Amino acid sequence: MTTQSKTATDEEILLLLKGKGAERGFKLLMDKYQERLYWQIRRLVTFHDDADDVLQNTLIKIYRGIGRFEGKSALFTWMYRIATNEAITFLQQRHRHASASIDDEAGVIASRLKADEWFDGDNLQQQLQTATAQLPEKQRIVFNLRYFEEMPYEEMSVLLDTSVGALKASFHHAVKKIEAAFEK
Amino acid sequence: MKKENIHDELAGLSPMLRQLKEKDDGMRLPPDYFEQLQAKMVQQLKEEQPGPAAKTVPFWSVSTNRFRMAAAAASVAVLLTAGWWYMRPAETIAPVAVTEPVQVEEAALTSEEAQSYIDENILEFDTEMLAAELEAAETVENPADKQPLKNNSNKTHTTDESLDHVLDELTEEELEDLL
Repeated sequence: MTTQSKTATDEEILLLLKGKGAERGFKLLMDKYQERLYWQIRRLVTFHDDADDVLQNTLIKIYRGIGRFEGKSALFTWMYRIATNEAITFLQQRHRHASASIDDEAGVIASRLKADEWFDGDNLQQQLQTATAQLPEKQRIVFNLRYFEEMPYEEMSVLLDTSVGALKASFHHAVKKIEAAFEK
Repeated sequence: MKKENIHDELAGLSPMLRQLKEKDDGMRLPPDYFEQLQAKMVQQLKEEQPGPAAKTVPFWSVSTNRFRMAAAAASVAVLLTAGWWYMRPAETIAPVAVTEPVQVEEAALTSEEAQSYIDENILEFDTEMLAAELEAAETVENPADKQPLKNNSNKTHTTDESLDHVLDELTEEELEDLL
């Protein structure tokens, strides 16, 4: 990664992607946004292997759909929404295929985290991941953005097209649920 | 500034989570993951032909074409059905005229049944018509006439008697209405 690719503007990237420099534009886009997208996805799906699959699907959709991007929102906002939708779809499929009840699902996640080579957090961090994984999808998204990404509510409001008040309430509610999960 | 905001917020909400946030979250990545991912994605997209600059038919256009085709097919089907409907052999369903005598098919009713029907519904028959029929029945010589009641002179006689019987039972008012 070069410094130049890190500083490529969204306009430069879009110009290349929509023109004859698609490959270079895609590389610049990945340089600039892939990590951020990855962690957004990872915090939703928890496990690296799952995040890898979802991220690849997301990037393909971004690449194929860039011609339809009209610039009404910021490029990252548009990509973030694609990534979130892909992650939620993945979680719904995972939930459908799982035969465990909600309580059992927490145990399954905890077991899988213990065995996951790409997670080495302590017991408390494991409990946090397990508790977060049980939050409703929208609440989980808000919690991740605020707690892990430390995103301001105003920026989150634009990203999620939700009022600041609703986001604050959602975050506070999520925190209470996670605390209750810890107390169990 | 952002960090202080979230930390301040968590301090009031959940000191436990605030403390936990200071620690490593434990999530790891394979080494060189993003470099390898980039190479993998570029190769994958090269193998899939159309890039973002390729002209793609918008979904709404495809669906519109399909809709148009479906509409055209439906229109043709309607036209064909209408054409068949008009061209099919006309089925003549002659409405039964109220003033015309009911033609009793020879095989459908026995003479007794026909007589019984007439007896029960005498008031619905046009008396002039009925009289004309009776007169015609008296002058018919060909027994192969279609009207079964006229073929049998006995039945004619019976009809006369039945008619007399009915007329006897009619009140004066009813007779006046008939006449």
